[in-house]
Amino acid sequence: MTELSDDVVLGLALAAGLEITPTHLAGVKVNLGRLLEQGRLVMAVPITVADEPAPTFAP
Amino acid sequence: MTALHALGAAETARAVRCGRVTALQVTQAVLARVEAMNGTLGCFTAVLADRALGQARAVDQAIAAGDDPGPLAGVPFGVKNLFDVAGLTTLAGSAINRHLPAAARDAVLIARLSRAGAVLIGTQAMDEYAYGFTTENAHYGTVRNPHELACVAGGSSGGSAAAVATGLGALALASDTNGSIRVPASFCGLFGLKPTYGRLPRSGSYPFVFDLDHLGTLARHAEDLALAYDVLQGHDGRDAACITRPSEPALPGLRENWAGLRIGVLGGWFDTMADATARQAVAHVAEALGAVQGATLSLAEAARAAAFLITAASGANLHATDLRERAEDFDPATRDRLLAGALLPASLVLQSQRVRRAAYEEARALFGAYDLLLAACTPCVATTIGQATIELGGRTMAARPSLGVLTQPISCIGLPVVAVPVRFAGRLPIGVQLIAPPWHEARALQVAAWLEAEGVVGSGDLPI
Repeated sequence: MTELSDDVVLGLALAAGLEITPTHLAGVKVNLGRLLEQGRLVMAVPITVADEPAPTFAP
Repeated sequence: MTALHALGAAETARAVRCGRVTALQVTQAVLARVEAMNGTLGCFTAVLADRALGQARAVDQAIAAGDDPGPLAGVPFGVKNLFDVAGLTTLAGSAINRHLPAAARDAVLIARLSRAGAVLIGTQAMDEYAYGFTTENAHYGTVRNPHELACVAGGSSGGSAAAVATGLGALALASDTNGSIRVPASFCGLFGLKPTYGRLPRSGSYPFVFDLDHLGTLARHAEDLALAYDVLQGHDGRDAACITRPSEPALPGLRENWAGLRIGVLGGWFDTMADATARQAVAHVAEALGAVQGATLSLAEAARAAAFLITAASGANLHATDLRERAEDFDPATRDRLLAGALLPASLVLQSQRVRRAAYEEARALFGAYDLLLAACTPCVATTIGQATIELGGRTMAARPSLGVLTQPISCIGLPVVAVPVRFAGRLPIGVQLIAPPWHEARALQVAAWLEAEGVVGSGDLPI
């Protein structure tokens, strides 16, 4: 699990135009840590230009 | 004689159409059952008795007049409360939506079922905004599993699954973004259909993640899924993702011989993340089908991660205004996940969309060698209410976000799946996914119907 400091999370929130109250901060940190862990998995996949993103997926 | 509330959808329609029973009798029986059971289970958020009785009378009048009442004549069904129902506010499991105006008309899929003679009983509980796998909802309570009341029913379509499993309707309309039909189907011992992405129109349903949301059905029999699926198909231009290809009915070929299909068992991630019971369920179905081991989707874990990230980011974007202005009004579990999703770097989300394409291409190549793939629906049987963690693949993982580890890689790439229920004596039910290539729902339903006819899978008697 990624350990995030309060300052990092609050800085990201500021950039996103969100305010995170002290009571929500711990829960957001845990969940963001989980997401970043998943982020490492997707970033580890070698992707080429042929792998066109699928924002509106149509198999 | 089987109690009317215990009849399946096809059985009900046959009985009503031939006059053996009236739609009104079936509806009254189911409404009485809802009245008796809903306090214990917490399935319904609104019961539409007047509407249901009116619809049932209309079906009976059509029959009396010699008109065709439709293929689903008198079949009682419920809907997850993210479907628009005329005159009701579409809650989507939230408190925030309570103040929205009532829907002016029914969602397109409700209208199609109703035109086919089905009778809407009510709306059903879910995780807030469909973001969860357990239906433990801070606003509306927890839906209990009818097989074991101390356990969750699964989610996010938990109210729908618990209702169908208990005979509070023969069918339910539900949604599946990451596993929200297949997870509760698994935990409640039901058949569930998540069609190919784009197959069924979502018009009139409250969205979660536009490019991952699928609508589908839950039932106690494979034939019931096929019957409803054939009624539900068809283009609707109000959903930009809905395909224009013609309907491909499943019912006509449902009992045809499937011999010759090449069926494989997904290994790797799908094996590692399944516990002993889940693996046993897959082996049980695989043996009956003569499936071979060794099918691999090497990008399954990455596809699951991609689904996780796309969901968090898209969900956060959808609810950005409320997250800014009234975060306190969310279910705390949903709020914290959505807030975290709002903080994700864009590169992770874009990479997720590329991984998704790569995973789909890998699956497409795999379907050159197989016609159908098998995997467990859930890593384990139903967890207990409030359970914080599960042990998977040697890791301790948070329970609520992890119950979809085996469904997310599949919905991420839009493949059609039929969940089939496996019952082992003395244990809670668990589901197996029959995964088909895109647009081959009929094939998965055909195999599901055969497995049920052979007694390999099945919902069994009503648990309570």
